[in-house]
Amino acid sequence: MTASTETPLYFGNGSAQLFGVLHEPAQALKAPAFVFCHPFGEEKLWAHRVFVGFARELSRLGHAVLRFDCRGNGDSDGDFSDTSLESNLHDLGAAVDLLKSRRQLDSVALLGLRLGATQAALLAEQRADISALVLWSPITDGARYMQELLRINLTTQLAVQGAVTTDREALVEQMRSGQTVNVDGYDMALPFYEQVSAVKLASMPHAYAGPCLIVQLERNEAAQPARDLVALEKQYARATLHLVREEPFWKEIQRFYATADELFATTLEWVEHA
Amino acid sequence: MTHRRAVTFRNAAGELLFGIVDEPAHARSDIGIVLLSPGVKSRVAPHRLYNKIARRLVRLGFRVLRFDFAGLGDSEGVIQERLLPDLYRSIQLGRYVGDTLAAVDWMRDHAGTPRVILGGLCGGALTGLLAAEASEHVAGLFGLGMPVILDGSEVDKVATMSQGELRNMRRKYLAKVLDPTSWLRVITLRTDFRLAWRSLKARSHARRHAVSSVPAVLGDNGNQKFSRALFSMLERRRPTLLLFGGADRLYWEYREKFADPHATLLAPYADRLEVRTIEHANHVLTLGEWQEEFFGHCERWLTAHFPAAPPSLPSAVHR
Repeated sequence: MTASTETPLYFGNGSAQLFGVLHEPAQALKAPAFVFCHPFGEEKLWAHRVFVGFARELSRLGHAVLRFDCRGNGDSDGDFSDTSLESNLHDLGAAVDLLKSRRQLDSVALLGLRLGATQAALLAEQRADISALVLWSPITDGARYMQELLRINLTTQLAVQGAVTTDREALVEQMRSGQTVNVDGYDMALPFYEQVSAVKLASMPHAYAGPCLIVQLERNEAAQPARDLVALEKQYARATLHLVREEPFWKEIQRFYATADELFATTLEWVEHA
Repeated sequence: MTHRRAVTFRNAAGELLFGIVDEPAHARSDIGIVLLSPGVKSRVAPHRLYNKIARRLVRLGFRVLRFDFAGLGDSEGVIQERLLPDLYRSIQLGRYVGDTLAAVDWMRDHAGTPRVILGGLCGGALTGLLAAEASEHVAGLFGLGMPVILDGSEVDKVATMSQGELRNMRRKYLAKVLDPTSWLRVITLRTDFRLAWRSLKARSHARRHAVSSVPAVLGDNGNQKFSRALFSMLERRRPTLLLFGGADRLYWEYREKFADPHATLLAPYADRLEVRTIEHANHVLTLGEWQEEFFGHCERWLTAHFPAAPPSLPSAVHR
């Protein structure tokens, strides 16, 4: 066990300044070091404290962790409307480079939640310096996820106008004509919508050959492994799927989620043995 | 040209708090702004509302600090409450007044602004009001969606609903009278009968509601700390702007449980208390047009009450 430090910092990626917090153990570093990939929009805010808690836990055990905000998110530069899956992957790549250079590492591990997990998996396909992957409830079907986000817009319409006047097809048309669609206050533009919609994580071949932990987070104790995650597990050479009982802490729920004990224990045990 | 930097400072308990300072190239040295985090959404606030307003305030020449309270966001600290309503209640009772005073001190000591305007959404707004009572350095406050009642997992939500909420529920129930699926819910006992009954009899209840002359928030769960802090603010002649989404239950609660019953007591303070609503808007101002209206109200209010000193002219030409 080591004492650790937490340093808030800005780092550049092209013209954008990205915000991050670097967790560093005071003494010798244990491999791997982690870059965390946050989920979408309000899910990021609800899950934030779990990310912080797990970063502190890893750091306490000797691992360095970089948490950061993609552009248009958190305290990083830019507007959400200018973001896309491509820009998120670009920013994630810059975060990997930063951690490697700060700690003089050859490789790092990626840990992501929901869309952040999806992005971690996609970046691992593009780079050879990812040594481990931890995917917490990854979004495997981008198109279905985008439909869920559009449904949030419909719910807002219903609450404000008492009726849905612009259906999902019309919302997509709106984006195609250059406008944005409001999802919980985030202005989503066409590149984000189209690029995420095209993701089929469970059916695409994965070149990444390192260890991979896939966690299915389930409130229900009797839940069975989800078909898409079982399919995803099979796409990797060295993946393990675990069902973990936690509430969906990336949403507004009654419980204040500062820590996710079962999730942390499962992930730490895997990290120690991977 | 604006500049943004990450800062840390410690609260009285020694916990490290993380914040972001946005500042213009030539920031005002007489006064700055501290934005106080709402609920558990940290220093960016829902859909980055605080980032957006910070950008606008910087354009007016203000240095703006927004930071995470202890146990939230990136900051140190542990929260023992397991349920959000209990955490919210502790915030409404002043949990983060000390952290706010530490931020005011940081602005004075490290940013060189002797006076501070506090701003915030929901629990952040209320924290600002409570902290202002304890600080000589707070010059004014703008709050969006100020809560006047106390949350808590033990609070009976149906019993403490405002008339506005009940009117809204009644409209929904009446609209469903001809809907067969609604009657199916009634037959299968899935309807909340207590809520339905309360909403349908709300009108007669409203008529019986007595107007109190005591400056207290009405109802069993009224937050008396709010009332005391607001009157303290007004008596000290500090400008206060309260903004509400027109469709936010917190607006109805503010009106029915505080402002309407105490209209006579509040009237003498009309020169320093301004209350505005943003029509149809929800609690967190999801839509861009609502956010624009919010920014506009804040900019106008700040310019009116805290104008920048005119640039000083050279007093004489030395030959």
